[in-house]
Amino acid sequence: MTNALSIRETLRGKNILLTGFTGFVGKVLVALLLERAPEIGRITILARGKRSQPAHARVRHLFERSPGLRSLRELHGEGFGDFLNKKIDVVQGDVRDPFCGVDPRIIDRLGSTIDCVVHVAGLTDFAPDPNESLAVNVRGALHAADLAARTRGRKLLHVSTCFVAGSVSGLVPERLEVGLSANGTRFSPRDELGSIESLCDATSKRHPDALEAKNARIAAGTLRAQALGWPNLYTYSKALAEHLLASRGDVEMCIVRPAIVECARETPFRGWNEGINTSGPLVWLTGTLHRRLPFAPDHVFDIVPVDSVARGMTIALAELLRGEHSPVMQLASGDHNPFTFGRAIDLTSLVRRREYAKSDDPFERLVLRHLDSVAHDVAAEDDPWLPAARKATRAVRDIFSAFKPEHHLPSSVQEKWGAKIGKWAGKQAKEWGNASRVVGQVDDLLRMYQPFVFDNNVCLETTNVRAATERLDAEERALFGWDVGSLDWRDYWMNVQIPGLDKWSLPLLHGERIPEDPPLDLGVDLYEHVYDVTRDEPANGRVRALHRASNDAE
Amino acid sequence: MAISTSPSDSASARAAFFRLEGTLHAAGAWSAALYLASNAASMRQRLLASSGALLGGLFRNAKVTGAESTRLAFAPLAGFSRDRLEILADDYAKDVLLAALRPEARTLLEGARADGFKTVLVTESLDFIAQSFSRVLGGGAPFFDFVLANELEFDAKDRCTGELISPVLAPELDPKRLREFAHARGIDLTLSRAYGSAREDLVLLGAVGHPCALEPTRELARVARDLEWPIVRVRSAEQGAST
Repeated sequence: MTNALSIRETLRGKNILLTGFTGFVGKVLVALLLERAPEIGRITILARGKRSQPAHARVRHLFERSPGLRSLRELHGEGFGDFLNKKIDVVQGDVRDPFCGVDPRIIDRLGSTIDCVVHVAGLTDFAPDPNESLAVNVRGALHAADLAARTRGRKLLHVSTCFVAGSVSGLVPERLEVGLSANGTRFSPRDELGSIESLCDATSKRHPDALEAKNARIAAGTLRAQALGWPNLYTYSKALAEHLLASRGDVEMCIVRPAIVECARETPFRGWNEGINTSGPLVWLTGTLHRRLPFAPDHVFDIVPVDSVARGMTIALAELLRGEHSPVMQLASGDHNPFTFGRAIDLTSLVRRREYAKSDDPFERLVLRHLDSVAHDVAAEDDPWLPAARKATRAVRDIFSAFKPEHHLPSSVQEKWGAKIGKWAGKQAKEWGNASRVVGQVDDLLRMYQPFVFDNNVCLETTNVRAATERLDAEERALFGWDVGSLDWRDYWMNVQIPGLDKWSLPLLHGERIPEDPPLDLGVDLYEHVYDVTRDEPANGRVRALHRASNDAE
Repeated sequence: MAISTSPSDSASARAAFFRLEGTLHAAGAWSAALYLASNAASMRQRLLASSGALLGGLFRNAKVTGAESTRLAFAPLAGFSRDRLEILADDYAKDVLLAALRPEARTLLEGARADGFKTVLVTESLDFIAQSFSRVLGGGAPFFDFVLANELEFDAKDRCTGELISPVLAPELDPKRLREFAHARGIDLTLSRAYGSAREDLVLLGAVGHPCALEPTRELARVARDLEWPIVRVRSAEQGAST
């Protein structure tokens, strides 16, 4: 094989610093690396402390209980703690702060061992407060690059999103032209960052109320994003980060752009998902009474399983470490194994009808079962049904709210039944109010998704990851190779994605908690890089890896 | 027409042919078309397709036994996705066909296998329904060694065009095609068995060495008696009048 690539040989003894471990992709990446490439050196996890929980305790908790790391726990059993102590250490930090909030004295020590920074942390909300999305997605990426520039490897693997392509249709190449926005407008990334931050500041000053100020920032930021061809603040902030990172020359960098990341095919186990991802609300809608979904049925629904993303990232990491990387690597399915919205809706309906056929609830068994969802092929903003339903439910709510037994009932009825009827009307008002709110949320959701499910039909090029896969031998191709081309969408959607969402994501929409696994006590604390303030030795920037850091602190 | 083979197939001299419609299961092929049509995604399509399938059923009951009646029964499935049809076929095979499989049919099927016969399912219904039925009957693995069924045409987007791929397997089998099928698989028809229940099965029954009329219609029963073919009637057998 010419120009062969061995992932495991490349990763042997290499140390990486990872941000975003506590998220969906981060955990699967670590699970995949430690399971399939245990030759890797140490993985330093940069994590925030939360409330009273320091970073190392938070990371330890995830290793002990997260279903996303279950396969690793099962692989190592009682020796898991010892294994982690050989492979994992933790440094407390926050990507929003300069150098990701890591003490400069720790950076000096740590930097001499790190070969690559893998920056996964990000905010994935479509309409976040721009202050937050700029701090995390843009400044955070720059801080990760600053950190990478202080390491021995001076390499950064940055995770972005395919949807930085913006409001476009057609083939999206694996390319980044710095200073050219999604709609072809020329702009200066640095000036743009300054402008949007100033705009947010000015907007905040105009609105003394915090919530009003936030909504005004979202509105102003979204307008700015749309003026440059990005449909929302998420894609705008990720794109701006890409342009700013590509403008600097102090680190070698590969930008990885996953499409819509969904349930795992095999790692950590079939069907695992975490949080509410893009397809969750769409799948939830298919099971409700709203049957005419404003989606373009033939548009590509670019889904990639999370473990395929981890495979792609591992390939990109190996190429970057060898200096053989592409500047951009897209991880998507649409150009070689496309799945469509029409197909997703059809398959989801077929899964739901089978479930409803077995339901004990007669409404589900006799009514919902026979009401399949269909792609309506009308834009959400042009669909009259939901606004009409919103108005109707509000009107009913108002009628019940306005009902007063003492005014609307004859005195004889009021004396006998007034209290009961009044109570019933109050309950109805509450229920219709809730229904109105849900309809409103669905309407808002569909409008938010409109650029992705109706307006634009993107086909994301994935030449780089597939070419890199060709460089692997058969054994490594099975372990790390890009595998989305072999995905049977019907099997994946019906037997992996829907059951996965039902178990791991959709309960969150109903306010339920997702259970963690029974704990496996690691027996030891993870190593955390902390500055030894007790010995007060800042002069030479000495850093100690303290064993049982929290116990010592106590 | 689709002719499919189980993965473990090897040529065999003897085969047992089972007609699905009427023999293994009381319902005709048009009932499968009606089941699929009545489970279309949209209400409009459901109504139109069901009406079309019912019309096909009426033609069939009016003794129109050419390929046209089969084409007519499945034409309303135009526009259905392959996913929907194949998934509904699984449900139909499990919930309808298997649930109402004639009890005596199962005994005959298992007997044929035990006697070393290759099993062949003959149906004017669709290949994926036949395959699903074969799988549910075999508990996951295909029960039948061969399936002779009709095949729907799909466009590039995997949408059904409503056309059956020629040659269409009509209710009445084409004897030449049956001989070719047997020859290609090394099946000796004179050593083979076939089970049928209606007049349309005469060609099939007449082509093999060991025909059997299973729960035959009056018309087939008369012919079977004339030709001294065995007749199996379970209800009569229960009453002590089996032939």
